[in-house]
Amino acid sequence: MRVPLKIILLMAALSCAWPCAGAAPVGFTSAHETVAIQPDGSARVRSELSWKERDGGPLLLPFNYTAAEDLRVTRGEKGAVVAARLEQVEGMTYLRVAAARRAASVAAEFVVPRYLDWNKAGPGEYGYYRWKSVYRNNMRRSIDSVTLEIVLPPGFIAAGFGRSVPSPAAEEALPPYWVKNVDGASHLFMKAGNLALGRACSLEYSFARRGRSPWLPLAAALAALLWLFFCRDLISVK
Amino acid sequence: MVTQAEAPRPESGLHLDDFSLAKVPARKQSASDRWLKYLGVPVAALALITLLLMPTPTGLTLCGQKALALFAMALVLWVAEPVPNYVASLLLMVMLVTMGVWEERKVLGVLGLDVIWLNVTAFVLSSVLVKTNLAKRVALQMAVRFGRKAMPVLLAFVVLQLGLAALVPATAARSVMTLPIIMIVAAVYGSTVKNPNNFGKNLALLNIQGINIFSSGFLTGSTCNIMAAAFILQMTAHKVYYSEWLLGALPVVTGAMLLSWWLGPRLFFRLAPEQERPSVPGGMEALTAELGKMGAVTRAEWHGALIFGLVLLLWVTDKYHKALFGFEISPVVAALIGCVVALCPRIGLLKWNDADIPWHLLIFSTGAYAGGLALSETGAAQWLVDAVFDLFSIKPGISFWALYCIVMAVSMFSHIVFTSKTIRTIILIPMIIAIANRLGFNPVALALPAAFTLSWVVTLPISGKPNVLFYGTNQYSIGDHLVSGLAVCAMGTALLILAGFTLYRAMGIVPY
Repeated sequence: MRVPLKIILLMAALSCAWPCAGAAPVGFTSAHETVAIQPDGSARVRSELSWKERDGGPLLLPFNYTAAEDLRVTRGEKGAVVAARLEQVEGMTYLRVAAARRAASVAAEFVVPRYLDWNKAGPGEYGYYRWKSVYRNNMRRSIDSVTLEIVLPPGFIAAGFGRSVPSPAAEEALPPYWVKNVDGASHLFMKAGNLALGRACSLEYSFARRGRSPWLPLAAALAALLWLFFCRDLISVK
Repeated sequence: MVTQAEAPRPESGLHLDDFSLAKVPARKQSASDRWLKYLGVPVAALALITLLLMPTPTGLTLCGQKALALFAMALVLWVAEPVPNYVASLLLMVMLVTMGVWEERKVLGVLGLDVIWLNVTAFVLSSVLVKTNLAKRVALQMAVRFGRKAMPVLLAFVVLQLGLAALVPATAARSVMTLPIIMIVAAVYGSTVKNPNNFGKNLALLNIQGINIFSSGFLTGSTCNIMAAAFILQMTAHKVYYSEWLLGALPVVTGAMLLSWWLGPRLFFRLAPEQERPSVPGGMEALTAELGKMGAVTRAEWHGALIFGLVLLLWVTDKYHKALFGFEISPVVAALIGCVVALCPRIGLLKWNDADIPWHLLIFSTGAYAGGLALSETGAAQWLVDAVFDLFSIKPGISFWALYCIVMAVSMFSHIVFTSKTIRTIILIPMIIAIANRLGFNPVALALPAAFTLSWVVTLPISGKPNVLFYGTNQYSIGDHLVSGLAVCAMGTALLILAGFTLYRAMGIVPY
């Protein structure tokens, strides 16, 4: 995927003109973003970022949404709350976090009010809803490994996957996404390695309401009974 | 299993008109076949309903669950044959689309896959060998040399496939080369397309096994072997040498093939006394006379051999194509080149009407591949493998040998739900290495013997390209294929376990 020129210019500007951005961490090891979609279309997001070493100063975390409510950011394993706020820089939104130098990770939790537009999502053919989730790395440094986890609203189940970025490496290769149905909730996972500046990983998926239509099983049972009745000559003694 | 004592038409033995594959032949039904047909639809419906209504397991999407249910339904229909297999395949394709499992363009696109084109081209090239009488000459020579009794001629084909596997890596190429010869030898023993018997069944199934299984005897026998060796090198730093592979795999595959040759006609598809010898009037003398009557190799035969030789040359020199032409000619395109030459006026040998292409088989294959690919694309195939491993609840503390047996069995039989050896290799080998690492065992001790099973794709017509080709000969049913495939895989698993305790210990692959 080509990196948009706008983002490259923005990052170059950030590194030169803004001291806080210049004090960015060195080498992020992993990012894990969990997006739990709620029945009203909002989403509870938990975004974790960890690193091996950094050179101090505040962090500018990627923020891929239009708004955030109930923002709460913690750092390290102990989960000490740290100050954070959303900031606009050159038209892009970042989460500015005052993370201590010794901390190895931060986790931001917030609510995105209108994450999923039910009207746009569906239901379409076969009663499937379709949506796309994206994680874009707007930071100056690459992230070694990114995991995007989508939790479907209660009462829905993952139907299938559409296109993904990154896509499977070859025609006959394992896809970078998978599903886990845990405690009645469908969790969709997407993994990307080495997400560089401006790069995004994304996943298109479809989901449907839980519960089965009785028509197909009924039709199959009826076809079986009709077969047994009308084709009984097959086993009549000849 | 089944003894078919039906009398072959003795005069039909070498009449090439009897080898037409394009028309769907009617099969005689035994009482058990009719019961199977009668129960096929309710059992298929039951499989569909059960799998559709069960709670969606963790790790499976709704589409994956539906794909699994539809494949199970189709499998029952293919084996029991209450409806012709091409009808079952078409039904599967319709249901894949209408149930929202797989997109319509993908389902329809299966007809354009390389495996389907390979089928078309293979049947055109086979027609060349049949029309020119070249196949008849080779078959007669084999029959005269080895064919006084059924067992030696079956063994001759085992040896032939072993030799070809060492020389020609492409299984499709070996299939195309031997298919017409097999059909004529089968006919010599009274098994034609219209009246197949147990000799033809044994001969065709043994050759399918030979073509597939012998690929596992050589590191270069199949791309999946090389991929598996690459995974082992990458993940364990153990380099698998050609000689190590040969020494570890070839004795097992040879043993399994010999067992299959010995047991097939005695246990699974017993030969009636009249099928033990050539059934052409006049016996061996008539065959010798027929061969004599053919005289010297004709111009047409040389012509056919030349066209076939060109394709064969392209197949066996595939790794040099890039250096020679700047690009690689795939096996399908090589076969297409052969078809162009064979069908071209003046330089070719065939008119379109001479090309014997069984379209019913291609429709069956398309539906079957669509079902298999849907299993793979929806993640259902991978989920099944995971579920089987979970079933054995492999936990720390399990003995190495218990784990070794489980891994061999799962690797061997997992091909039933995969249409691609490549994708099975990608899933299985890293998974086995990860399991071994987690439990503290040497990963090579499990991954290398498991890699020896990757080419054992012998259970269903869609398990491998040669299987689809041979299914068109009408010498056996899908049920026969399933029985013989499961039997040879069970033998292979047992041999791999035996080798684990003996040969692989001596070679240092597994621990003492």
